[in-house]
Amino acid sequence: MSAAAEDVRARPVPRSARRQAADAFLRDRMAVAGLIVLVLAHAAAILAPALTRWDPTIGDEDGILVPPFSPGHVLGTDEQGRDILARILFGARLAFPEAVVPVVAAGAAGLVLGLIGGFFQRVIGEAVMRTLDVLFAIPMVLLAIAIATTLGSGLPTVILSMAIVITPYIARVVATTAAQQRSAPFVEAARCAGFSEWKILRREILPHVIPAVVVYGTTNMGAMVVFAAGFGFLGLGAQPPTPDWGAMISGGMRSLASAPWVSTVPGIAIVVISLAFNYVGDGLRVALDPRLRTRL
Amino acid sequence: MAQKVDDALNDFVHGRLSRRDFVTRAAALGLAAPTIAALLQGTAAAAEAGFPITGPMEEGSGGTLVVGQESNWDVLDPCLGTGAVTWRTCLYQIYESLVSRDMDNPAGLVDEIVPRITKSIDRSADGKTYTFHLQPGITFSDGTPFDADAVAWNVQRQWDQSKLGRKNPPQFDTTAAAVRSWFWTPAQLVNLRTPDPETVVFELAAPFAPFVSGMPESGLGTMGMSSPEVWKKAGTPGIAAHPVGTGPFLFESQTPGDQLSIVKNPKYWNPAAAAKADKIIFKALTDPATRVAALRGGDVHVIFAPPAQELASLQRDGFIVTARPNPHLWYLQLNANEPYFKDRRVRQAFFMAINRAGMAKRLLKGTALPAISVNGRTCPSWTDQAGYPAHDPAAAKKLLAEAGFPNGFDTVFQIPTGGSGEIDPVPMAEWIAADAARIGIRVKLRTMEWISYLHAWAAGMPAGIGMNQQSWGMTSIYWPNLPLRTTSVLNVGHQPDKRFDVLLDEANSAIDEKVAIANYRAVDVLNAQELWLLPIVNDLAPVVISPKVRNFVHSSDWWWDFKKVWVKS
Repeated sequence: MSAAAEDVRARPVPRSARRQAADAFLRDRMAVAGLIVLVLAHAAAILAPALTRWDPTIGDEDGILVPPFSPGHVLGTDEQGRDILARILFGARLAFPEAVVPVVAAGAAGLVLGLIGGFFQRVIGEAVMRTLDVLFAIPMVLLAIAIATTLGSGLPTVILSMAIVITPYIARVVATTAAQQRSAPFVEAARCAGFSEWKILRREILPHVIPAVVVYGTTNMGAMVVFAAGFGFLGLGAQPPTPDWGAMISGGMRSLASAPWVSTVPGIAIVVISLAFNYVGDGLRVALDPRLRTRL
Repeated sequence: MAQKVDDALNDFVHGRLSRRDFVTRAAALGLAAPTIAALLQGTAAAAEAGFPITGPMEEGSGGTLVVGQESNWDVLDPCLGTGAVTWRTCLYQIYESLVSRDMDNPAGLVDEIVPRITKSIDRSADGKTYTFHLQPGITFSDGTPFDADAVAWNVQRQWDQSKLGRKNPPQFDTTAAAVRSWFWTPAQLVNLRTPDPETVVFELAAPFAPFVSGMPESGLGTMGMSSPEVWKKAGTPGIAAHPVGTGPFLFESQTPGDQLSIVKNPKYWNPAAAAKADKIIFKALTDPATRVAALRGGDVHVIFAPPAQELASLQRDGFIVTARPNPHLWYLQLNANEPYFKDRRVRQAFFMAINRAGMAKRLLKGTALPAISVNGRTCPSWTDQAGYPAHDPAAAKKLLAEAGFPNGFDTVFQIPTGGSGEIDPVPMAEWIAADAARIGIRVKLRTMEWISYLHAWAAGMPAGIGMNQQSWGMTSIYWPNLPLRTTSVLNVGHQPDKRFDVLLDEANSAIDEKVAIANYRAVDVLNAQELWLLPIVNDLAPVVISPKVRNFVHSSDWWWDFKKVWVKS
């Protein structure tokens, strides 16, 4: 049976395919390690109040810049005498929404815009894609800073501006995938079988587009962690004294020579979490792409 | 003897003894001049923090001094240049002010007016007429004479006579008048006469005690004298393009945003006070880490605004950190329109919660002193006896409960992320917020970029903002008029207490300086009870210099005098 004939019935993905995907993901050791790191970090963020007895915003004015591995302060304290571990844990509560929410929002928006642009390819589609192309011309960080400066600093601003800047990228991925599938034999066949455009979109195109979005989005979550840290570093993130990893780095720069741990510890946290997101994204890419999977 | 010194200090503080009388008496008791100055200005505290006032002192001359400063200079026009950086950079070396202070004398009384281009100043018995006697024989560096007409010409650039129903002369500049209106409006100058080339007479409508001390003040233009000939040839832009003054240095060249160089004036009118260095180059190095690296690399000899946390390691490497109190005050104003701050006990509780000494010593590494007066430490009306409540979180919590807020309240603190004289505003605000949280007041910070902050700040606090912050000050006794007078635009917290205005009016119109100072101190005492303005810290403004620099004296004001400095090769 040809692939086209099989797909024309547009049946749900067979169980075995899901199984195969899961197996492929589990075979990727780095992806599994990344996933474990993310799950543990997420749990730590949720359980932060139980994991530390320190308040992340109120420091001990008699114990400033205590070095790491001191009694009571495993990761030391900052210039305000605040426990760095507590700030890292509570900071993770910002880092996860900052990583996930913009990508999910941009994923939804990018999916709609990309499908309009890639599948319909008429005047509206062209207009949407060319408008998004304009946004490509502006450097991502610059655009995000411009948006954040206009809206004023704070967590909602960070999330919104990151969602806006990555939407064109996701829409582009969707449009390209949709455009490729549009002229695929199974779509032609579906059209011949008298399916409506809407039904073709839903049953033939979407199942191909969604994995692409998931993979692209997950890989981007790592970038979002770094991006959000950049915002915090520039003072556009959450308002102090809310613990924000990026703001912790820029705050620590004042004492970089004498107390390097203040900047370094949140820096390590950012690297670990963004790498974990990237490995999970890579694992998903391999797992969800049938061609890559068979090659393994 | 200690008791006698204490008595004298006490008399001084309570206005029974003028500053000069205090110095005379202290000197009679055998105290050395630096000790007297230290007693008056908290210099001792700076020394305790490990910072001397001067670098190595040695007779000599020559060399090119390279200065790394924290921001760009703007317009090189004495009427239009704004900000201490512009004045410090170039203007104070090129232009001389009609009223000068002894800023680079390590033992000097920092608020004392010293002769320079003005030989002496007489005041009439009714306090309404000031006669300035000019130093004869001075010429601008373009060869034109500096005389009474030149002084009048410069005053008329910034003194708006249209309010008196007269026509302003062509050199009148509306921008200059706007930035200087805080001085000329209350001074009520009605007549400016030049009976002879060496005499300028200012006639005021009413006595104005801060007339002389206020004249060189504010970071927004001062009384620097520029050559009228330059303006006649090239207009206002010409003044900034080719600065011509009477000072010990001459403008050489500038690359805006990068560097500016000035050279020794070989024909300076006072050879005894001529410049020692051959040349000074100012570099704009806005990033603190870059300034430190440039100093370590030998590219610059002096850096302003070093990061506090780097000072110890720079000292270990042989660099010299100097510091000295100046008119700086880092303060909060509370919004009188927010219901919780209407109760005086709440304001007191909030102030008592703030550990200012801890902030100065630990967060700012001793580069600031806890503030205990609305007046800057170099101001003659500064006092340590105003009676500001001490840090006491337990008592603060109790006061808060008495006022009906046992569980505290929520408020918003508006602050800039950085800016001129701001030290480290965000960590300092975080420190205050944490202190407030300890007594149950939940302070939310709202940070803004400096320029947008300045606009928001000057517009006054809207509803919903509990407090904001600012940092400046003056050596002139006039300063409390600006944040504390109910009608002042800088009363950004809308404090409604008219008793401040009464005291300030009495102070301003006093003919006797002692009466003026006593009234300004009374303003301070009243504020210590009412706490509309919360003094937090005074910056010691540390500067780091290379060991090659000679005769560097840390200034006691916003502006710096580099004429004695030279570089040993």
